Amino acid sequence: MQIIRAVAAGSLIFLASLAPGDSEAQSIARRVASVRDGKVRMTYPARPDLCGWGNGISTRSSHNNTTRSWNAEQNDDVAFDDECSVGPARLVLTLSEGRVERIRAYVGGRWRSASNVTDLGQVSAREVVDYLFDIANSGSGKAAQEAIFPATIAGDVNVIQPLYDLARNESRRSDVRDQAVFWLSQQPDERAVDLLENILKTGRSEDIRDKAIFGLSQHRSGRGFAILRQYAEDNRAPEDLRAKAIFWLGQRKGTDRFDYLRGLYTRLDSDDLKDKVIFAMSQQKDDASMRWLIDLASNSREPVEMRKKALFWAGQGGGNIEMLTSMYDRMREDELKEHMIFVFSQRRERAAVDKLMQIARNDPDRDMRRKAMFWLGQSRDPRVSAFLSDIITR
Amino acid sequence: MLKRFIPLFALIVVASLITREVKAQSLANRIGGVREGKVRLTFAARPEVCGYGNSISRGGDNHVSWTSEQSPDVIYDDECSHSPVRLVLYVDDGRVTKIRTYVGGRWRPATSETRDLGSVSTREATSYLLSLAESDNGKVGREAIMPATLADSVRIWPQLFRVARSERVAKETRKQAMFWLGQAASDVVAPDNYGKGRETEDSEVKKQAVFALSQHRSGESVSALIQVARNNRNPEVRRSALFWLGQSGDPRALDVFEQILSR
Repeated sequence: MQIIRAVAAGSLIFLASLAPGDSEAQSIARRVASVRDGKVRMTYPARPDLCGWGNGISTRSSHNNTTRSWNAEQNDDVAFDDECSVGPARLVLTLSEGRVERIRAYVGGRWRSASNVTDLGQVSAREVVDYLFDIANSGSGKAAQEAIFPATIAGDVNVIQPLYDLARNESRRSDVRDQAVFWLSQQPDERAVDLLENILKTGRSEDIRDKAIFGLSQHRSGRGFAILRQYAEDNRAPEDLRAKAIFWLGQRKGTDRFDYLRGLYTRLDSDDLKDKVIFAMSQQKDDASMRWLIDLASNSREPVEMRKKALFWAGQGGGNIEMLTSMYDRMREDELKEHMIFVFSQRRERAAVDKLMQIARNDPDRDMRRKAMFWLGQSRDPRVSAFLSDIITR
Repeated sequence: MLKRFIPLFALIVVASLITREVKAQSLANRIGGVREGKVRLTFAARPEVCGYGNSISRGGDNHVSWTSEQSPDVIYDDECSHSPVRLVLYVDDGRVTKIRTYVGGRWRPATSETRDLGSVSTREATSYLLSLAESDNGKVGREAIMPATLADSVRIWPQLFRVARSERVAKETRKQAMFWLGQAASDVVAPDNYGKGRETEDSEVKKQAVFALSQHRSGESVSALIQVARNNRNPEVRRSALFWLGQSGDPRALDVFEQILSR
């Protein structure tokens, strides 16, 4: 009996704790509903790491310094005196025929005087977050998507769970869910990584899982990369999503990334995924990666297509030109030699033009000579004109 | 004695010029008399030229074609039909708005909007076309040049050089004139079928080098091509240089063409 009474009391307390937020959100909704056309303003506590200026909001944390801004114009709602103005978050809803059409948020500054504006004054962060997620979860039009960001700047309210729930809500439009996943990835709380992993592994649409991959690559904890590695090697996962995971793995540099990608290449069976590893490696842009690409291009046991790709990306990624030119002379396959000529044509170094001139003059294969000449014609090197004239008059 | 002949000779020259002018005017007047519809006329084509559908072959690999559709004006029974050049001028509100050129074949039945001027002399036709090239600033000016180059037994180069050099003529039309002058000069240096079937590897590589030179953007490529066009021992290579000079749009090339064509 005692336990039952205690459980009932516990439930009451739990329900009571839910009720205020809900009713507060309703209270904003009720007050907004009384406006048919025009703007509704309110302020609420902002996260302490934020400051605002014009249409931009910057984070001032030690981890990163990012700005989110929607356009470069001066805004109609808030005036700023400082370049990094701290203060409350300011929310502006634009209504038309009783519907919230647009949502804008600012941090700091002071309201501009304006007509046809209803000012709701200061509201609690919890209240505004609940109201905004109501719009994101049930609203239509652009406002549903625009409601998410202002919720993420509210102080002292953890928005991870509502963002996750919104991301999983399959009845919502994909652009709204995409926004939810993105802002989930921006939350410093490491629990966001687990939730993104959950979306990646159990999400129904490929689109939302794609966004989760991106989100995992963006989380500042770096924990997302371990999940992406696991996913890239998961044979049961769709290949195009695995390819995306590899792509994002290549976007961060570091020795461990190089070692991992090198090993991954040998473990993969799919040529398409190997191709993605080659590209990811080219994004590392360091000597070791370039050497790996050149070694791959020189390896006659590899398929010609992979070698061509490695060659292309070694050329584009700034692979050592001396290594590349000396490789031409060792190359036996015409297809690869032809590809190398193109690679040289795309490089700006004098040595690349020298090599093209050498091929144009001396290569035993007439086709290679012709190709080298074609690309010499496209170059801007001033020596080329005299070189070609010499070939013509010889 | 000689003095007596000079006025007579001058009279003959003036009379011949007047006759030419009157003839061209008469063709222009006859076309100018049409307000709407199509005007057809024919004139003698150079013997090496033949046509089929919307395509004209100038011998060898040299083809000009504008669409793959069936021609709306001319029917062809043969795949390479010689002479005459058939010209169709589209007239709208008294202005020529489009020119279509065919070689050979036979006219399709004319509609009520078609006026057939019959056969005209090549001199009359080319004078009219090149006057149009000089005076029209749009695409008609451009379109007027190619048919003039097909005319048999008439020397159009002096007038074509005037078009190519005139600052008052539209840029695209001048480029067209220059292109055809380049073609004519290369035909003088080496006919299109010159060396056919016996092209050496050396010639081929050199021609590739000429093409590469024409594409090079160093600012020296035109003078280098001119050197090749004037001095190279291999006529095929010179022909190739002249062809690419014709595409260059550089006025220095015109002097080279003129030297070759006036030999």
